[in-house]
Formats: sequence, structure tokens, C-alpha cells
Amino acid sequence: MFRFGPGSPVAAAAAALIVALTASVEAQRPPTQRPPARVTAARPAGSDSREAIARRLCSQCHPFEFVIGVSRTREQWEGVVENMVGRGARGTRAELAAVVDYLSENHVLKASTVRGGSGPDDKPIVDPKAAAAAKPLYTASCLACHGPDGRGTAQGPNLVRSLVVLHDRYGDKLGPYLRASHPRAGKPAGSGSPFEALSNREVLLLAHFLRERIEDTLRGAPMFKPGNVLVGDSSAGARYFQGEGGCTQCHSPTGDLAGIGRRLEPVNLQQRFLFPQPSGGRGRGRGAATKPVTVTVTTESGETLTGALDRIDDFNVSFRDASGNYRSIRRTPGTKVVEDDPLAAHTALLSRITDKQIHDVVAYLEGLK
Amino acid sequence: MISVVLVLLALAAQAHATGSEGWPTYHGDYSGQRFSALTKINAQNVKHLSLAWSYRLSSPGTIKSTPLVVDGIAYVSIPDHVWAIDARTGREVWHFEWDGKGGNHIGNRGVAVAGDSLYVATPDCTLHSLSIKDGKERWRQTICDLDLYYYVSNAPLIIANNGGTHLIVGVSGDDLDIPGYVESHDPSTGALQWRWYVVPQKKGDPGFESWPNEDMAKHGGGMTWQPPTYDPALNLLYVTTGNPQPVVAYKNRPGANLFTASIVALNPDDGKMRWYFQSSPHDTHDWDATQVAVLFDGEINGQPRKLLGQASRNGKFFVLDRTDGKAIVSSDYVYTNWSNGFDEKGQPIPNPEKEPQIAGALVTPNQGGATNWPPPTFSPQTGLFYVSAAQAYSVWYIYDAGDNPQGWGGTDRGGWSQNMLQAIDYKTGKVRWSHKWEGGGMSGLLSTAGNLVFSGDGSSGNFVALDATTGEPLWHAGLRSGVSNGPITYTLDGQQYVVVGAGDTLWAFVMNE
Repeated sequence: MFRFGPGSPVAAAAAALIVALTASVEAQRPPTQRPPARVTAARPAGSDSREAIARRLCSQCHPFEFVIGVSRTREQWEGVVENMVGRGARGTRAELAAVVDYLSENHVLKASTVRGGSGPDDKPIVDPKAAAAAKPLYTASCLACHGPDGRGTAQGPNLVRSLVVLHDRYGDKLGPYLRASHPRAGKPAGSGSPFEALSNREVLLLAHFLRERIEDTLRGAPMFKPGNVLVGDSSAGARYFQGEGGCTQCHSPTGDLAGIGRRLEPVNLQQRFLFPQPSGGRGRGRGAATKPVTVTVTTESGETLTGALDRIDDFNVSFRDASGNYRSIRRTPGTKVVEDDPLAAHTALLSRITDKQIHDVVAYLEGLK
Repeated sequence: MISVVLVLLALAAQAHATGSEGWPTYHGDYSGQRFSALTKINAQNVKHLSLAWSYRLSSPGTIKSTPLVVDGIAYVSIPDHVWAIDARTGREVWHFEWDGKGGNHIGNRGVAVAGDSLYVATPDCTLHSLSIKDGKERWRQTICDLDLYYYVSNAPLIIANNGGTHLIVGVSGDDLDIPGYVESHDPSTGALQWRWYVVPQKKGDPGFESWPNEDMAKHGGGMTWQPPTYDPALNLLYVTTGNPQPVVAYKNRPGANLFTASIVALNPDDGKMRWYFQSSPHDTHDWDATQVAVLFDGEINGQPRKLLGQASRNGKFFVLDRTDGKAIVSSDYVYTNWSNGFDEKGQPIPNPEKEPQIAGALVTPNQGGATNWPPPTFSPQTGLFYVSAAQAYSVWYIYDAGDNPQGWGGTDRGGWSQNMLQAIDYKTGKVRWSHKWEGGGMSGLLSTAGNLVFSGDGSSGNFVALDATTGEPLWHAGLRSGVSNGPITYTLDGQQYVVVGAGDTLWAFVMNE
């Protein structure tokens, strides 16, 4: 299958070069701070040519799309190229370095943004392409016992909680287990594994698939999406809007809210009417409010000043007056400060509105197309 | 070894004399009161308090740890780093940096010091012993499995009693469904003495009846991410535990889910549980109950009692008899809308309608809680329990509506909050006074015999001294960012210092005479 055997002097020399290259790079920086790209050797002119070199060298034995079907860290790509040189891949030092650079820059594992699911020196990184490529294999060989999401059935254990899977790094634990130790259904232990013939690539794909199933359970996982929030009674929502809710004091279904159901997803409608402050988060976000809080300050001397609130604490208050001038005033015992928050009516709802009323109002607003 | 024990006993005795000199443990002493008997700085003169020094960390990070002060040296930490600082001048004495292997770097609560050793845990599940002389490492132990998404943020606690010396440390990690535990190590060698699992590890273990099956029980969470408190006379260690797993989607874990979200009394010599009180039965809002179990002696109906108080993240305040865990007071210290009163044990009864829902449920408190990790304070002088609190609302959603959710399976979204300092009368559980802050965010607290409470005012970025009796602000200093840890106080050369962390800087204030 390979053109040159592992004993080839050319290949050995090239492998030694790659190892030396890798070692010198490792010495330069801590492993957790890998820059996305670097130049390790003279690069042929134009970045496209690096792809051409990679395509030419890899295609000697593999379809190129097969090679780039799995993303890897730079360290892993260096290992792959080194391995392939050992198996007979032939190229100059500059060409091999260009291949590593090209693959590391264009087909690199990107650290998950999911909390706790990141880092080549911590948790393995999921390659969604590889995970997707594992689906036919998983469906054919694993799903019946371990379930569609790997969480187990009466026939097989939960793989998301499996110590083999959790300790695995890109197949290093999973491969030996699947090939040697996985029980054969209905057979006594020691009867051999039904997965003895799994290739390294198949193991790697399964490793990505299972790691993705683990990440599906973490907070902030992309699969976590709101369900159906349209469970309310639209006409009851309309009554609340016009009556008890007091919404018509500021809003009109044919004015500012006309078409609101087209502009916002139902869950965002729900969020927006409960928490209209733009920060949307902790604290009373004021700085970026579309309608600013107005503050009126009566000083000890009796002067009354008013403006858009900039900042307030127990000791000082600052604002912009009608002319745009910044004013900062110390809050003494004789200083009176009155805030007028245009969103106060929304805040006041929080302690009295029921969940049914919330769902009714969302159903009503959703209907304002 | 004997000398270590003697130093520890001396340290314990000093701690119980209400920290008159240094600040030798995370809370200043074992009680968790964070009350200092020092009076040089007091309500009458605090308006003259002025800056002594500031120290900016030489590696970026946020100071969430409470510094220790022992023999004139302050020890402060962030994940993977410890600094020794001259507590008179703010000059760096040494810096320990650990080339960690990963783990969640959300925060580090602090270190423990005993004899000439310092103990710190790093996010990558490593417990270290360092020399206090130069920060050189003496030993290290792996205390959890990084691959299971454990990490460590806790400050270790050293206790010494007739049963030996114990280095107590807990673990963090409410990502995957894994069990929480507390461990005790030999401080001189690092060897494991015992491990107590928060959730049952097999059928028949205590609390097993509160879980549907063994698999759910043994993966049931309950992280121990806050330092415990300790009563040397009763020889009881008070451990507070985190939320059950799966966190938000709860369909496959009906029951109370013991001993998550609980206050648990352990024998520190063997790690066996003496009693428990569950602050949040069947928690579905990531509320934990890891807030400090504050130990104090008080009077209930004219009788002297050994008490324990907790202002829990779920908005409930409890006073227990710390000898047996029986509730004396159960109340709300902010408005809450998720429970239907208290059961016969004084534990809140969750309202199923306010558990997370597919279409959303509006709940107060939010995920951040009515309070969180910033430590509260109790003043025996005023009889008030002070806590940095929030009236915070958010909507809770189930995202994984299947029968077998794992991990999180939902969360809360949006929110509005009003932050405040609540002063709670321990005898009634009622709020005696409340001081609202304009800024958002919480702060650790310190009370002193000078009739003062020190607090941050959240995102406004001030460090404030309030009258402990009335809540009136008496002094403030604007720092570069909001107070991010629990303030401490100590005396050196007859001068009283107050030190607080705000972002990446320690600020030390002193009364100049």
C-alpha cells in the first residue's frame, strides 16, 4: 500500500527532521498557548500552494478529502505527518513543514466555547465533522444497546458516564477497549470483542461522536434550545394587556407594538417584556438604556437640576443635562435625588405577575403580526 | 509533628479569641463569623480611615480569596498562583506559580497556613503543600479527576484536635453528573485520611431512599466548594453542599436528593456524618446550599444555645441547634416565590410549579441566588447576621424534556436584580435593616467590635463602612473595581489594618494617629 517502507533512509531522515522540528517548537512556549499559525520553514510563495503540496503528498495514498475529513490539533497533525513519513510519504523538509502548517491552520480542532469543554491539555476537543461521520457506524454498531444519545438502555450502559469514554483522548482508551474488552452480546466474558477489526480512523470518529454526546450535557451546550413557550391564552393575554397589566399606559398594539410578533421569537418576546433593560442581566443596567433614566437633583442651596442619569451610588450622582453638559454632584444629607425610570412599570410586574399571565401575554403579543 | 500540633492548637486558641492579631484562617477563625474584636477603627473615627498601601497582582486575575495574615505576612491566591505579601508595606515576598494542566479557573477561595506550611488547591485537582518561607513546594496530591470535569476552587482548612491534624478540602464541578465529596489529608505528608461522599455511592447508604436508583444517587452531584466551619468543643465539622445533578432538568431524580444542598455535621476524625439539615430539598435551580454555616452562641427563649446560622442562596435563612441540626428559625431574608412554606423540620417545601418549565417559570431568586459565595458576617455585639443579598428574578426553562436528562438540561435566562445588605435578627429571622445598593453584584463582609460592617457596593466600586446597628454608611473609598472578596482586619505594631480585594488589587486601609 505504501510506496516506501518504514526502513527507507529518505523517510527516516525526513522523520528525524520532523521530530527535531517538533521538539524545537515545543521548547519555545508552554503547551496551552498555541498560536493558530506559525511559519516553521521557508514557505512556498502563496498560501494556495501549500494546499497543493499537501494534496500532492497525501494523495499518493489517500483521497485528500479523507485526510481532511477529521480536524486535529497542530500537535496531532505533526504526529500524523511524522507517521506518514515513516510509512513512506516523501517530501522535502520545506514541503513537509508546509503540509503541517496548511493542515494545522485549515483543519484544526477549535476549542469548544462550552464551559468546561476546552483545551488540548485538558478535555479533548470535538470535531463536529468527525462526530457526524461516525453516525452511520454508531447507528449500525452501538445504538441498539447504548441508545441514540449514548445514555444507555436496558441492554447497554450509559456511555456519557462511562469512565473509559471520559478518560479517552482521541481514541487512546476507547480503541483498546473496543477491540479487546467490549463484551459480545449474549456471550460469556472472554469470548472476544465484536469490534476487533475497528480501524484507527473508525475509533477516532467514534471518540469524537461520544465526546460530542458528553458536551451535549454541559451548560450552554448548543443543543440546548428553548421549547414551545406559546402555551397561553391569547384573549386572556389581551385582557391582561388592556387591564390589570397596565400595558396600554405606554404601549399600543397598533402603534409601537404593531408587528412585534413578526419581529421577535416567542421566547424573546417573553424575555423582552419581563426584562426590557438592554443589559438583560444582573444589576440595573442603565447606561445603555434606549430610554434613559432621568434624575432630578435638588441641591442644598435649593437649586434643581435634571438630566439623563449617568451613574449613581450612595455618595455621588452624575448625569447629562439638557445641553449635554456632564454634571457630578455629591450626595449630602441635604441633597434630594429623585429617579424616574421609564421601565419601572415592567420591574413592578415581576413581583405580581403569574406564569399563566406571562404565557397569556406572550400568546397575545405573538399574534400581533 | 508535635510542634505542628502545638502551633495549630495555639492558632485555634488565638482564633477563638476573635482574631485579635492576624487573620489565620479563611474566615479569620473556625466559626465563620468574620467578626473582629478590634476596636481601634470604630464608628466614631472611621471617617478618617486612609490608604496604607495597595498591591496589584503580578499575574492577571480577580482576587476572590480571603487573604490570611500570619506573623505579618499576608497570603493571597488566585487560580494557580499564591503570593506572600508584607502586610505592613504591601511588598511582594514570594510568588508561587503552578503550571496547571487545566480545570475551571473560575476562582480560588484561599489558602490554609499551619506551622511553616501553606496549603493551596489548584483548579487541576492538585493539593499542594508549600513552605511559607519561600513558596517552594513540599508535596502535592491529586484529589480529583479532571477528566470527570472536577476542579478545585476551595480553600483548605486545617484543624487539630485529639484525633490528630486534618487538612480538609472539598471539590467543585457541577458540569457532568458526578458525586461531590470532602477529603481529609495528613498535613505533613498529604496522605488521604478519609473521604466523605455527599451522595450515596451504593444501595443502602444513608440518604439512598431519597433517590430513584443507585445510578442516579452515585452520580448525584453535591459539590463542596466552600470551606467548612468547625466547632472544636463539639469536634464537629460543618460542611455545606452543592446542587444535585442533573442540575436543572430533574425528571429522572425525584426525591429530596440527599445530601445535596444541605448543611452536614461530620466527625473530622473519621468523616462520619452526625446530622444533616437540607436547606434546599430537591434543588432544581442550581442554588446549592454551600453558603457559610456560621457558628455562634446565643440565647433562644432565655436559654443559652449553641447555634448555627445560614443565609442560603435560595433566599431562606436558618438558625439551627448546632449540636443536633434541629431548626430553630426558618424565614425568608428576601422575597421568594418558589416554596410553599416550611416542613416540620424547618426545611422549605418546593412549589412544583416554580421548578423549571418548558415554557418558562418566573422565579426569584435567579441562578446567581439571593446570595452566593461572598462570605457573610455575624456580630455577637449586635446579634445581627449580615448578608450581601439580591432580589433577583429570572425565567427558568427546561431544554431537555426527555425522560433521562444529563448534566444541565436547562437554565435560566434574563433577569433583573436589586442588590442590598440585609441585617437579620437571628432570634426571629426577620430583617432588622436593609441597605439597598445602586450597583449590581455581591460582596464579602466583615463586622467589628467597633460597631462597623465593611462591604463593597457592587459595581459602583466603593468599599464602604456602615454603622452595624443602623446600616448608615459612614465611610467609603472608590476603588478601581468592585469589591471581589471578603475584607479582613488585623493589627501590626498596634495599628489596625483593614484589607480588601477589588479585581486584581489588594487595598489596605489604616487609622493614622
